[in-house]
Amino acid sequence: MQSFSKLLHFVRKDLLSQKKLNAFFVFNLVLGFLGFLLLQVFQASLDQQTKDKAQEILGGDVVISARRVITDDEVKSIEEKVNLEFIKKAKSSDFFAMVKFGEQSRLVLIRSVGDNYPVYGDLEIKTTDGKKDVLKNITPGAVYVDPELIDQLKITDQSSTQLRVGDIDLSLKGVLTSDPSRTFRLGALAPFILISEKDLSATNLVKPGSTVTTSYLYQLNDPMAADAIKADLEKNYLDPSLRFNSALQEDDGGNRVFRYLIDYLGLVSLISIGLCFLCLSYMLNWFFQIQKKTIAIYKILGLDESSILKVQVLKNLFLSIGSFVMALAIVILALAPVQALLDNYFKIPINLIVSPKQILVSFFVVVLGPQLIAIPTYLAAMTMNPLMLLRQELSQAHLSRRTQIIWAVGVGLLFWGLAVWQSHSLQTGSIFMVGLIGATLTAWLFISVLRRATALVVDKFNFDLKYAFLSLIRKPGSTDLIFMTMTLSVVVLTLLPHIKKSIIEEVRPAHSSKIPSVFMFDIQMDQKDELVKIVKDKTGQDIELTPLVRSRILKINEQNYERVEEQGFFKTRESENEARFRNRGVNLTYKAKLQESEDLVEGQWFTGQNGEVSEISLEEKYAERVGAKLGDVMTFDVQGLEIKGKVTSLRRVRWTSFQPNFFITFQPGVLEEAPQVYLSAVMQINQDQVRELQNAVVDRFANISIINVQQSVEKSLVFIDQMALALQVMATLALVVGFFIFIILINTQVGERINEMNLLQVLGSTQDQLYRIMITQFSLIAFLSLLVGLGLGSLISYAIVSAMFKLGIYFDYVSMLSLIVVLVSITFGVLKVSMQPLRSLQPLTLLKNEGGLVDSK
Amino acid sequence: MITINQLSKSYQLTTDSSEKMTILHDLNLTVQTGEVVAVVGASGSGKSTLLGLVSGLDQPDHGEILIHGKSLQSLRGNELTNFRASHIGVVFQQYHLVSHLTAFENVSLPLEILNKPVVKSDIIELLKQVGLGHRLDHKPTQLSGGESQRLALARALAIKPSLLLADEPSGSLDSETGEKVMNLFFEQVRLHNTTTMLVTHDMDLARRCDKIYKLHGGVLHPVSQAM
Repeated sequence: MQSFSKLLHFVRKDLLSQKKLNAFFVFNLVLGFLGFLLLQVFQASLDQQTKDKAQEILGGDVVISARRVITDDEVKSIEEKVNLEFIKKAKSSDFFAMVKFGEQSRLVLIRSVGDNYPVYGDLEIKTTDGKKDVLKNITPGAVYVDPELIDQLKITDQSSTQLRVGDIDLSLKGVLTSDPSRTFRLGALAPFILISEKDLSATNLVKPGSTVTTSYLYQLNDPMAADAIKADLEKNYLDPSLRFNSALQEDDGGNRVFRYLIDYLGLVSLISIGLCFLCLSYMLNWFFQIQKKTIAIYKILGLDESSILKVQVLKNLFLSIGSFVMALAIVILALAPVQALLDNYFKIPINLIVSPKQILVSFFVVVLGPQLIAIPTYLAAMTMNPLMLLRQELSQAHLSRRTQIIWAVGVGLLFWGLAVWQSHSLQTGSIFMVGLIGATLTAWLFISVLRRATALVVDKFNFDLKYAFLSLIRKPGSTDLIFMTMTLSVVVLTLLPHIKKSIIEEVRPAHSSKIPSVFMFDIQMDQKDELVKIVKDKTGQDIELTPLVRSRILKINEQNYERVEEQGFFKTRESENEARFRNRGVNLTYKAKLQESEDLVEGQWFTGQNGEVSEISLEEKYAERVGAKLGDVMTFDVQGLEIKGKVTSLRRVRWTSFQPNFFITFQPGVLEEAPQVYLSAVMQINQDQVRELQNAVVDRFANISIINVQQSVEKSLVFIDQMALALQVMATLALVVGFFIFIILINTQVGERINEMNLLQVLGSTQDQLYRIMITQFSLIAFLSLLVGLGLGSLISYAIVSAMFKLGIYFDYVSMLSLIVVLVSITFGVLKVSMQPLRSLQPLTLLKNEGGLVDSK
Repeated sequence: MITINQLSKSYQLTTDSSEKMTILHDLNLTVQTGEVVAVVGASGSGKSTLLGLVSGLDQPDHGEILIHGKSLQSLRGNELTNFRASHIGVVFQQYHLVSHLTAFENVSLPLEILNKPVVKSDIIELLKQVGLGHRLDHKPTQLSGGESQRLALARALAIKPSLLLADEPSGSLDSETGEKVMNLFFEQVRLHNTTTMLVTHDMDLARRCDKIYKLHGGVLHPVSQAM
């Protein structure tokens, strides 16, 4: 057994003797983990901010809310029942409605608030005379708005501006500059305005059946009791429409979209890590091939197996720690520009911080990952019989296939765990893993078959091509690695443009599109006829009104459909969504026939001959989610009345049609008497007509909310662009790793094959010919991976777009062409630089008696 | 016939000094067609330099090398490469085989580079002659040292060279294997009547050649076979 200092001496020698290889090792790890580390910073910053400002984001220590009106009496009885002790309480009601200024009207999210709002945090404003202030109290008659509304309504002079909100005019008193309850407003549908609760009834906007979220926000005597109170409330109140939140439990606080984005970015970053590990595995094996003679000599000279293992482990540890420090330093340096990008482009007020916890987690992944990848080389080094040195059989020092398979399965499982952890979703993580393995296997199968097929016809080519092909065919390790890493990185880069284009083509209103221009909701029964007349008058169209009846599911086949609240250390997005989903009410409609945006996929459309139980039709995915199938009987609570429906058909709905679509449709003749509101859509009209219609409707029926579909779509497109950009940046990082591997392999192969090239020169090849052979060899593999990557990426995009989004595929040929141009240029650049050593070959070195074979792999 | 006239070669000692070391000085040699000559000498005497010049891989400071009347110094660029590859075969001490090619492919490699037809039966015959008829599809990593050197010899002979240059061909082999390989070497060069220059420090090996020259002080001195 060697002393630690002696082992360190061996490690130092190893590190110094292979400087170039070690530098490749470090760069590979740095590149592979850069994206991952940056995301860890995002994640940690978001968690920290959510935790620090949980009360401000949630609005209180405890919040009771519902997507309906909660009366003061109802809330008082809740407080008494659980003996809720609080310092202060505030009420808020959120709903969509139209606001009008002059000839401009816009859909806004209105929040009416009572005394004591906000319970936590400060509402910062800029008053109409340009002063910064903190809003303490919202006086009746005042309105505060988001900055973008000022532009949208074309308000040039804010002083003495009156905004029409429902039936009353409110004075604009200031612009909201910071609202802690809306920290993350990624992709919000409409701007936000704040009014006093005392003005709410006068606006006449909230009517029976209106979509309104009421919240009661509490500052508790003992904030630490929030969880206990939440649990108590949930135990005592089985009404699923009521939702209870505690600031002590991490809540999305409106940043769900952002978290999803981070989850998906995390998955893309895993591809970089996967490619980096692939390359690492190759490099470690390469190290081992170079070092095995030395290891055998050490063994013969008496160095024991455990010392050999320790030297290897220590060396890899040094390199990994060095890589981690470098990657961390780069991330810290990048924080300022990324912060600026978040502030100015994404408008996400998140303060990026590097937390010790996240550093520790990343450290373990970056440092332990390579150790895991190195296991086969450790085992090979330990089990290598030094007698092989005498028998010149060192090339036989490798592991059994069984051990390699066990190791590969172990690495795969751990990577799968990493994918689930990174995506916070068992389903997404697993699909990602299956996709990644599928793409890798497809690429590997393709190149293996092609190698074998080419071997059969290689003699038919001229010498240059034949030699290039033979070098590829006979060096399957490096050929397959280059091909798979390049293909996978091109696949990742190909996916986003196709998916983005397909979504954009689907939602962007075009002349041929069947997407409506205007969508109206919260239409009251007594407003129906006059609204139809207004629309006819302004647009010439006869609109159809679709009824909406609010309800909640009580039972499915007499089984209670209960509230689900999962506790635990690790919550997946699915479990969080499931809890949220089950506690939400459902909207019902009724109609006699299918719409254009719907297709029957199972069962039979309403026959009217189902006896006592009414017939209902479910959207197929929704049925799957609630666990209902054909023939099941669902019981709904419609305003206190139990109504049963038997599932007689399942429908597929094209949601991006922007038509009034519903998950649950009743046969006519059941819900007609229930309290209901209506929705409607106005098809293709121009923006002038939209404005005229908006103004006319707002003037007559202030409570009706109108979405200008084209504007909303444009806004969504900006949002999609932002998300796609973030994902594309991360995907580019994967490509950089792929190219890095390409560069490493070309450089090592050129280095290893210098003697081979010298020999070919002795045998009569010219330098130009050798240059041509090598360029041909590497361009062939690079362009083949580019083509297969593009093809495979397009196929996977097609699968994602049609299976997940249920859309038709639109291939983004422009992006693909740009990608080809960029990648081909980079490939040629890389090849040109890497092949420089071929320009200064010295065949005379062959007479200097070095090496027995002119290449080693 | 190979004729070397007043061949000189010197090297700069370091890149930043103008001081030169003369390796070969007005060296002369004539080798008749089919003759096998040995060049012996101490390490550093310039044996490899001489091989480099005769093989056309290096250029002399002055002097001339004529192979069958053609001056190597009159040829430039691709013309020289082509002439060299067509007329000169080289056997290296360290074999220098292409590891990813089979024995058959290694032997046919020089013909393919020269765009000469690869006659399968000729290659197989050549491999049989060096005792590798059963190893056609084997890669160099699957061959022993002796087999590798025999393969290298077959490759050098594949182009039917006018001149065969051998640089310590048994230097990496044990004495027994080395002797077997050299037996084969002489058998083959005699069989093909190949003009050969063998560089070695093994006097026993040198004595098997038709003539022996000792390289000393930059010039070749004939050595008696009886020495």
